[in-house]
Amino acid sequence: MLASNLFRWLCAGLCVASLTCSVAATTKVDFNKDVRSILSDRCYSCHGPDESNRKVGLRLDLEAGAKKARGTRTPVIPGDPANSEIVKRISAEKPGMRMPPVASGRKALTENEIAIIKKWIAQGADWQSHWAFVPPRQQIIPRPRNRMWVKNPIDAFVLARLEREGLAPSPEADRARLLRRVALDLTGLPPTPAEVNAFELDGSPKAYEKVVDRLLASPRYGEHMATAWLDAARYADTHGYQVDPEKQMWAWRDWVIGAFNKNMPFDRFTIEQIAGDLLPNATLEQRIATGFHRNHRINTEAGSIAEEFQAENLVDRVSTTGSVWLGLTIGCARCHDHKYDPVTAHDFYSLSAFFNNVNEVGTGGIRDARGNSQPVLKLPAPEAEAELAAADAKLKMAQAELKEVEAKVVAGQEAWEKQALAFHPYWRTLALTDLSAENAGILFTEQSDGSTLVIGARPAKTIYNASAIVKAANITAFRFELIPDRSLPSGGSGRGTNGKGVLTHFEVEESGKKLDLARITADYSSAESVINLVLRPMQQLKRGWAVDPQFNRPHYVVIEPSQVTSSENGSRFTFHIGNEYGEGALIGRFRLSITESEYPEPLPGAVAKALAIAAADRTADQKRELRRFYITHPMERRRTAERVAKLDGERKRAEAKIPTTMVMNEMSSPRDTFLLVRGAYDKPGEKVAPGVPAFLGSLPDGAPKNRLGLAKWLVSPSNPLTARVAVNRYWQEYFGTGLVKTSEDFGSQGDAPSHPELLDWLAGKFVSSGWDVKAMQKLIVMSATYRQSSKATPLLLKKDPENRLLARGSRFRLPAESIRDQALAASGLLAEKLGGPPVKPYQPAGLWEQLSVFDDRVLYDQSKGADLYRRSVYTFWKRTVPPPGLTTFDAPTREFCVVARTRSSTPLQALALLNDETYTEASRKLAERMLKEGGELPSQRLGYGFKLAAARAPSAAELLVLQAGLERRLTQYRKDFTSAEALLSTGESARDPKFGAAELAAYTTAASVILNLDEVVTRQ
Amino acid sequence: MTPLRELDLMLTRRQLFGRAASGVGTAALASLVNPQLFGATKAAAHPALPGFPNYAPKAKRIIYLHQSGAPSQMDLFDPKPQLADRFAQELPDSIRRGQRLTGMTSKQKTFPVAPSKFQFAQYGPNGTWLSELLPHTSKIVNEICVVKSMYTEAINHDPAITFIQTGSQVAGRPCFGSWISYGLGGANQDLPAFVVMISRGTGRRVDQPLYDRLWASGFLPSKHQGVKFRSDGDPVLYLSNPPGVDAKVRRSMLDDIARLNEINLKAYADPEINARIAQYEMAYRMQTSVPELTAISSEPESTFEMYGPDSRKPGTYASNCILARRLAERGVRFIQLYHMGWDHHEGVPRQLPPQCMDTDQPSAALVEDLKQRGMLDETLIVWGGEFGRTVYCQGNLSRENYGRDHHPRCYSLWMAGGGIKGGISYGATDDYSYNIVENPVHVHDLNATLLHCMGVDHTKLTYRYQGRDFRLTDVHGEVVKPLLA
Repeated sequence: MLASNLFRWLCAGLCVASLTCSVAATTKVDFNKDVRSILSDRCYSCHGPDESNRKVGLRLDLEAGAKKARGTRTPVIPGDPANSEIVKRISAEKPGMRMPPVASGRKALTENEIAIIKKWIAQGADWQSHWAFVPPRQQIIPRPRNRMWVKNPIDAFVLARLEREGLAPSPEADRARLLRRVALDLTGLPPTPAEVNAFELDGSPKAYEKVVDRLLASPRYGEHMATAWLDAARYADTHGYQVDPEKQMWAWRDWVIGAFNKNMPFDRFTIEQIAGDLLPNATLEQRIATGFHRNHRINTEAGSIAEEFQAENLVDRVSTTGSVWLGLTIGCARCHDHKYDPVTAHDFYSLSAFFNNVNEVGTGGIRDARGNSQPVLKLPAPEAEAELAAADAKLKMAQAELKEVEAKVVAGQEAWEKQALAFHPYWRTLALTDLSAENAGILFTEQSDGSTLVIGARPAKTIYNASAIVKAANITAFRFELIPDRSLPSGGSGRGTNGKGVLTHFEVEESGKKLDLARITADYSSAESVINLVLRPMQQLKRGWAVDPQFNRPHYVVIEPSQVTSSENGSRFTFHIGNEYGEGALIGRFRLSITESEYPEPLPGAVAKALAIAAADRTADQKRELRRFYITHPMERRRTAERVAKLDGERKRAEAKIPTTMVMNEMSSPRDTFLLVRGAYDKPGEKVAPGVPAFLGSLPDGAPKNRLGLAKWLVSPSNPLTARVAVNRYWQEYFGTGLVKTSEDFGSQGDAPSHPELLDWLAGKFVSSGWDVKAMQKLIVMSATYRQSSKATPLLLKKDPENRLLARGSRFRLPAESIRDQALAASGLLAEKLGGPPVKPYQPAGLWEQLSVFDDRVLYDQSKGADLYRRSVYTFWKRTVPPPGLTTFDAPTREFCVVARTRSSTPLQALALLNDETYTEASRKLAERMLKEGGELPSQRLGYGFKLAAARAPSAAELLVLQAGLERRLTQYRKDFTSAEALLSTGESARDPKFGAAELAAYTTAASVILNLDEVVTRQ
Repeated sequence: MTPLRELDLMLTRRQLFGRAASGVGTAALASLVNPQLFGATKAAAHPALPGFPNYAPKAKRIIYLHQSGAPSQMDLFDPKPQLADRFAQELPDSIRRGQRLTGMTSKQKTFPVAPSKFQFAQYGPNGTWLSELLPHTSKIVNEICVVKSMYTEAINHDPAITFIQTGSQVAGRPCFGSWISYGLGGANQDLPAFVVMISRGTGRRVDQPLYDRLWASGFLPSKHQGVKFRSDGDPVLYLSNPPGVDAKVRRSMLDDIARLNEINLKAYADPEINARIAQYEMAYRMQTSVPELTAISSEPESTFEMYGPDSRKPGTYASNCILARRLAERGVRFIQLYHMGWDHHEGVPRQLPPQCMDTDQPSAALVEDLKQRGMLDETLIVWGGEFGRTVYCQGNLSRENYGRDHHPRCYSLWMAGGGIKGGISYGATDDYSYNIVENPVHVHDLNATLLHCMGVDHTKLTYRYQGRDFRLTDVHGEVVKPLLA
């Protein structure tokens, strides 16, 4: 008895796992559920919608094609499988006859699949349109037997199916776990212990609903709901190709958060993002919303061809619109008609025509001060604008003055030209004092020529420091000389192999204030040198100025400050000379000097060449070159230009305070759009007009043939897909998987819905509620289905391992953002500020530099203070190097639209949770809370910490483990204060001095254990 | 892993833990998380797909030495000595054929021919041509196969390097290493199946950036993404314990985490909990195995001599080549190196020699080293960039100085080792190294061939995404049989 029962369960389990029933004698075969997927997968690539690839003119995606006689043969003869040609061909013995052919790469049909086809034909070969392409049907709410369990119609649908399968739902989750689940699902943050206590004690029948309403009203709700939408909208803070420059789109991100918080209906949410600018009297907010389709990557790489990337941008917009609203893989029709769904290439380009009238350049064109490319919207910032106007006026005046000065100094050019080649600036050698090095044992000896010879210890790397009192009116440059010395290896100028010495860094302070150094020029430098690094050193790369192989010759660099420096009364200058190349390639003998000359640097080659030619014989280019070089040098002009530069900087800073955001607009005369042959931008075919795919209806009556018309069509009642696709994505957030598992593909290759009637009912409900987003979330989380305990039994695991039938609550790992935000919340670090520019929390050093060119913009400028602890939705998103703490937990790169994240479990996640500064600091602060707020006893403190993260009290067994671990590590830290102190040094936040190091360190490890628990990183 | 398979493993583990709970105590529990007892879970950490490899592989692993920025083929592998007579002559229209150019030179008024400044000589029995800039490569000429007729579709770096790695110019497809990890799994349970290392070139310091996308798993499960080994800081992100946490404290914490997860597993019976327990143990093992692997100072002096002076310096290409060999020895399936600095739009004569110095000796040493260890015939090595460079000069041309723009229509690379016929050259270009005249090899063909050597039919390694079976070679690619041993 038992064995036979088990067998029955097992069979049923296999059946459920695939959600397609094997063929049984009595059941009726359902075309959409059982047959279409077989035909689609094995036949449609050659006998489907794609006309150019269709073989022998046979089309099996349409009923007419399948049932029409072709000469003596008919593919499908209802009621007569034996004579139906497709049955003969799919079961043919001869490989040459058998379909699909081996060369197609498609798998042969299994016996079960052949049986399904045969039975379907025997039963009359009923044909149905693809379920997703007909509007949701009005559903009658089922009446399951266990009426008591049903809390809302969702449960009726779910339970009816469970009862058919002979399964019962699971009991409701306990209050603490239910509260944590719903809080994390709706706001991405765990409940506080006080909230848990209050909910556990609230006896009112409305207790749960009150909690749900509170969570839906929290501003944290919008922040959490926005995350999935930002994935879909491929939102990021950089353009995404090659050097990946920054852009500014956070105003759009804040618009999304606000829309969720204000409960903007989904139809309006759609229309404003697709075409807010085209609404009558469009508001600023409505235009910001159109940033949705400016979020895609833009290829700013030099050499890119604008037409090519204009085409790519359109492809992205169409594909994204297809995935997000229609759940279709429309992108497949870029190169050819879709192989499985009736989307033609013509449809694809007709859709792209809607998006092709934006006044933009495919490669971004000239970008504004924030990196944004046209069209751009300035956001109101009255104070910053006043500041800008003032800065602008000052700058204009200075620029006018500069013109006058230039006109005046030009007169001196001829005189300069005559003596320029023979000119040598006067360099005053500095008498250095207070010479020191970072490493011990290095000695400095003064030489008769004013230079310094370095002797003594020779570490691999070090830094020299030196000072000098300087009195001068106009310091225009510093000179650093490398001088060979017989005492150095091979008589070179450095202390490394062959007398190599590398200058990796040069810094000057005047009376303790760092000078801004603008330019470095060398009389000679080795191929390996990157001399700009001397002024702007990078952590990753310790290179700079070297003179290989000319170690035996004196060489020099001239370093010019950005402003002429005056120290007429004598100030103290301090120099820091970097020797961080490694391998002991230290500077051996050097000399420092200053000059007040207007022409301190070596003449550039082109200038010297031009000067050597008689004035009359110079080319126009050479004349320009000379003028350019000369004009920047006379002192009066220098002073004025410096003022202009300073004011220009002020103006730029003022301008940068005015945020902008990229938006859509519509050109008055539309761009022509062409079908691109095989998707190639340089192979335009026929001209196409804006239009929607014919099989999905047409634009609503009176709708304009532009983006606004498209947007209205997306949310029109006749569109069969949008509402289904939207509610399916919501469902996926609560159950881990959508009712349609392939939430990105509702086409014929996608999975059939697990509960088709429920999906249609929800879609209908969503539309009839006026697309009320919060109401839909509430409906789902209020259901008994949602509230079930997620405990699995061996029976359920066997029968329904993926939990598609929902006889238990869902259990899955938290999204990346929630894992971090939860740790910040539990530790009390979370800074709950809504919106604004992105922030840069902790990330391992050097990640950006390692992949990027040398440029200031590649430096990760870590945030300070509260900005280290903002919610993850505000984390700066660099597409080519996305935040590793989030991508480790499956956050996408945001390079393209993603409507369902993958969910993985990897050792790198364990390493991140254990070792990332984000979590070690959160553990430290969580430990402080345990000690401060948890009570006196270790068990109370540990219980409190556990509750802060897991939202429940630990069991006795769990507490025992935590307590034993705490004691073990406390003993160790009591013996090792240094380690305790070291652990407590992680993170920028202050440490509460009230607690002893050993105790706090031990609790920190306990907190880390808690934050690493599977239960804590899971909503269960 | 399928849920049902997980379930079986879980039941096995449950029995083990059941015993621990019944009084064997802490010591036994600690030993339970000992990898040796993890038999089943351990063996399944990086399984191959059923049916893979499709046939007996020639190579067990790939070391892909990508030269980022695009090395100049006519200065290194594809000599055109007759061009010396056509210095500064306009590139004939019959050769250019109106083909598209990048935005960097399309507005140039003239396209003067820039002959290579470098001398070539022939090596090996088949007379393989190599430039004077590759003296060490000339010594392994019997092992390598130089393909001179490579071509690609993209003309700028970002799309081109994405294309060669993923078979598509558009972001979002899995890269080569991820496909290999997915199809063939890994042979070492304590290391990832796919490892990436990056070095900077000395030829051009300010060069093309790289992107995380180039080792991303696209739509494949994220465990197949490449793990980047870094020379600064932690070799693998977050690998080191925080300050103040020693091995004893860490083990104590891990034991607590495992115990508490076990309690939750008993209540919830979710196989995912089991997977997480196993991942924590693998993380712990990686904390030992990775530093052991990256500690190349344990190599004998002769290794550093072989790979050249740079090899002592962590983070250089030479040092990464030694690491590549160590990874190969440990069964890592796909080892991807990126060496930056080949994008020589100007100053080829100045920038190319130091850039070649970076790679010539270590690349040759890697081939030789593997051969000495008997591993060359089971390791497939590829050396090449994302496209070629133009014969016409970008910017000002002189006998001593010239620059070259991007050129996708032909370029050269070499391969060696498992499955590849050594000592040959394949394919030919026209007199200007501008168009291919013999045996063109598309990027898809190259990838199909590399997969073939790994025992994989490139049409069979597919993944269903958005209703379509995707593969590395899209719907293209032919195995280039003449390249095979």
